[in-house]
Amino acid sequence: MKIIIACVLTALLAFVLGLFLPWWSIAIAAFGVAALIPQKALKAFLSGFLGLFILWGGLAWWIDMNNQGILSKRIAELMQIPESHLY
Amino acid sequence: MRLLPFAIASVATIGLVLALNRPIGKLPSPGIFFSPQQGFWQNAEDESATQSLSLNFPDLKDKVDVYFDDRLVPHVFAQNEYDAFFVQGFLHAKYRLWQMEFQTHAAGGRLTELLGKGDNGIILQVDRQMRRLGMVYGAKKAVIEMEKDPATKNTCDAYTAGVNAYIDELTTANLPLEYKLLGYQPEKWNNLKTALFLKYMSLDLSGSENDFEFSNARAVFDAVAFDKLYPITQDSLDPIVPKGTIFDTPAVKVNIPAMADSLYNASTTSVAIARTKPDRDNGSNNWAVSGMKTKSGRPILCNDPHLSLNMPSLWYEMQIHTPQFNAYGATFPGAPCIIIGFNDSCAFGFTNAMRDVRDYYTVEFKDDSRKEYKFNGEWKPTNLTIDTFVVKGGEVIYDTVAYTEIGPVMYDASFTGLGAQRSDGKNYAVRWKAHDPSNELKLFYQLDHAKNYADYYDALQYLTCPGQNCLFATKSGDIAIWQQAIFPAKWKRQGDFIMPGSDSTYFWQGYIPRNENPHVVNPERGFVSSANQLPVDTTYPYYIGGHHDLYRGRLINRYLSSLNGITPEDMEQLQNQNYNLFAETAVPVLLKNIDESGLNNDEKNYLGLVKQWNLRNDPQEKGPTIFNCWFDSLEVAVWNDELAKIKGPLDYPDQYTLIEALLKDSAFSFIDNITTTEKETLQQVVTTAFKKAVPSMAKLEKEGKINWTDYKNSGVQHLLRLSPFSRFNLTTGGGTHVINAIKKYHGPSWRMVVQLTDETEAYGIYPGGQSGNPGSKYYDSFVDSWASGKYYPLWVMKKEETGDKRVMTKMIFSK
Repeated sequence: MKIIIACVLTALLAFVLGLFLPWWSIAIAAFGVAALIPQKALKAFLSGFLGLFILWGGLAWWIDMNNQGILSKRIAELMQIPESHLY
Repeated sequence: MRLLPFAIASVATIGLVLALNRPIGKLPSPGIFFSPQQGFWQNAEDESATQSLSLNFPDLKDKVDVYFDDRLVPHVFAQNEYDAFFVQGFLHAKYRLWQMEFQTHAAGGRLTELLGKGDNGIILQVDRQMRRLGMVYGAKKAVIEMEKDPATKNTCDAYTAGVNAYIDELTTANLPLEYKLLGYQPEKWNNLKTALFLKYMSLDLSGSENDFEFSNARAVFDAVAFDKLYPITQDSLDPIVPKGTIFDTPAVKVNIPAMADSLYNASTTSVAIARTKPDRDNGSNNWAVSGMKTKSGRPILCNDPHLSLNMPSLWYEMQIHTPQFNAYGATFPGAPCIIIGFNDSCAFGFTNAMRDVRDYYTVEFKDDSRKEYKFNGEWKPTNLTIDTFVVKGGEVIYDTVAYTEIGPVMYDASFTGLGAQRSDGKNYAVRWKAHDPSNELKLFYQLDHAKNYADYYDALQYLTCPGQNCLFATKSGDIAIWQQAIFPAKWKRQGDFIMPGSDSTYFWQGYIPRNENPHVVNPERGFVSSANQLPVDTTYPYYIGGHHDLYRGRLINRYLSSLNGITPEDMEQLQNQNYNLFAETAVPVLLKNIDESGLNNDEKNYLGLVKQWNLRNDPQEKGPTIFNCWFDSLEVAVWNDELAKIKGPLDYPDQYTLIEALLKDSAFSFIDNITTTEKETLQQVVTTAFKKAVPSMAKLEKEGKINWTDYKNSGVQHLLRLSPFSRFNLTTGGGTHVINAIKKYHGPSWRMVVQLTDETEAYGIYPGGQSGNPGSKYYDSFVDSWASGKYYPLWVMKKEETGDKRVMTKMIFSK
């Protein structure tokens, strides 16, 4: 149960921080929740990881759906180009 | 007990964050790039979003309403011009900021800041080339001139403020995608950037000179042979000003330098400069038909400028409505005003004049310090300027350039062009019309306001470079075309070769008075047209020079002469016409001279495709592919043996030069292969050229590339050449020499047809989309329709039409 709460809290906190701070604020969120809700090391790590995974995955999924995949398709192709062929 | 894992986890996390926060080689920082709240995901636009926006800017004087239609074309309703151009700047930035900055960085020689030095320092060389050509030097003079004029200053200041209002609003999350990819931030816009953008267009459109190439050819060919390779006119020319027109006695007399014949025209040294030049087909079609030839009884004006096709497009479509004017058309993200379009009284468009307004001079320095150079028998001081290049990563590089009376010394011991391995020990200064103070923006500003022919004629004076064929038509029935720029008055072949910079008699002696520029106003034949051909025949009293097209212009005039009761639809069809007049001229010569007796079955089959060909470059035709392969092979056979003698850069003779030579002389001296003892005949050369080309035809067929569209393989490339952001494999016809001038990555960049009825009836399209964001459905939304030759009706929205169903969303700007 604790792990689910920690997950959700991490995701929420990371989202809110992300509105004002650079991307690395997600680490602060995970850190904050881990300090707030005492768990075993592995579980704490797992809940932070899962929380952020849910946040990023969920957001990306939502954005991609509204965009009908226009950009994700192009970025996927872009990532297949060898670096030496860029610019 | 918990401290250790905690410390390990913290250190690991911080390490991970730091690692992900840094760019990896050319790739952006993964943390930033992939963050859905800040990275590329934020550029993935919501497909269905249509909410209105309300924006406040203290710079505005009044309220501005902007209505976007279903193609994302903004219709701007402002109460004054300052507000209108402010909003234009804001919208350009909102939809095209990255390209605006990228193009002006390119123009200003600052690409190293974004991309580094490049492989073998190529990007640094490109930047140095721009600075040494005097792009910034010219743009700085232009800004002074632009800001002297109150109306232009107001326009530019408003535009700059609008762009910056958008930049100020930007957050990490809504930065355009390319900034995220390359990892940099936009800087503030200013009027110099607008001037640099306009210089960039000057550069693209005034490259019709071959000074180095011609000098190298002249070094190995005598005057007679040289004239055969690079004639100054064409037999089948149909000029912009119809043949037979009587020209006034010239007001400016030019004196040929005393020693020109022996010293200049007979130079025998080659130059080893390596350079890049704009596409030689940077050109366009434009024509206007008068009411007596149209169904409506009113003029129709048409224009399609042929340029490199890029994404995001050079063009952005919009309508600007103020109490002073109401104009619609294509705009340049990077500059204010409507550039090609129409207003409530008239329409205007441009093609390139292809005149030579850039000349190179040898410069002799007293010593390596480059502090003094020889001029009219004396040593004169140069002005040494230090250019600074900041390379991505922080390195700073300095380049010292000597400025002379002529202009900057572009090539010297330290700079020999792009990729040239060694210097030829000489120094070359460049004299370019775009170095002179000018205010080209005022041309467009005044055209946007123009009500009649007199306004148009007055506006033209501001166009000094690049030379353009300025087309105009009014609702009151006038049609006109003026070839306009401040053209140097030259003696025959002046500036075709590199000139001695130590002798001022070789300098430009004066300029052709504006009223003597080639023009046609309300002609009896009922139409005016241009397609980059020579503007006049040789009875014109000044030397034209430059490089000119031939067939498009002739064919346009042929069609326009025969057409009557013309509708806008007829004009759309003409812009998309795939008939190949060059082939009409060349195919009979080829077929007459091919010896079929020795052909095998394969060869006969391919020959049959040319015989059956309807001379149209339609997408699914095989004829144009076979014909092109054959003619290319013939050119190689005829020219390459002689051209091999040329050292350094050379200019390949035009296709019309070869075919016109063969038409009048089947024993044309270049036919003979000088590397063999035998004297080849035209029949031999044509037949061998065909046989030699057949294997490549067979290969194309095997690869499924024999149909014209597959052979040509047209596309629109992203400015960074990133293929996922480009569009390839478009099904298109047309090509070089064809009215529908679509080549691989080059062609009609904006097609426009305007019928000047009381209610303007206009159509247009460009290969791109209104949004420059690859994450928007409007990024490439016009491309397929453009490729298939379709047009959109251009909606000149009226103030009272705010409830029209075409209005998709709106933006309200207020103080």
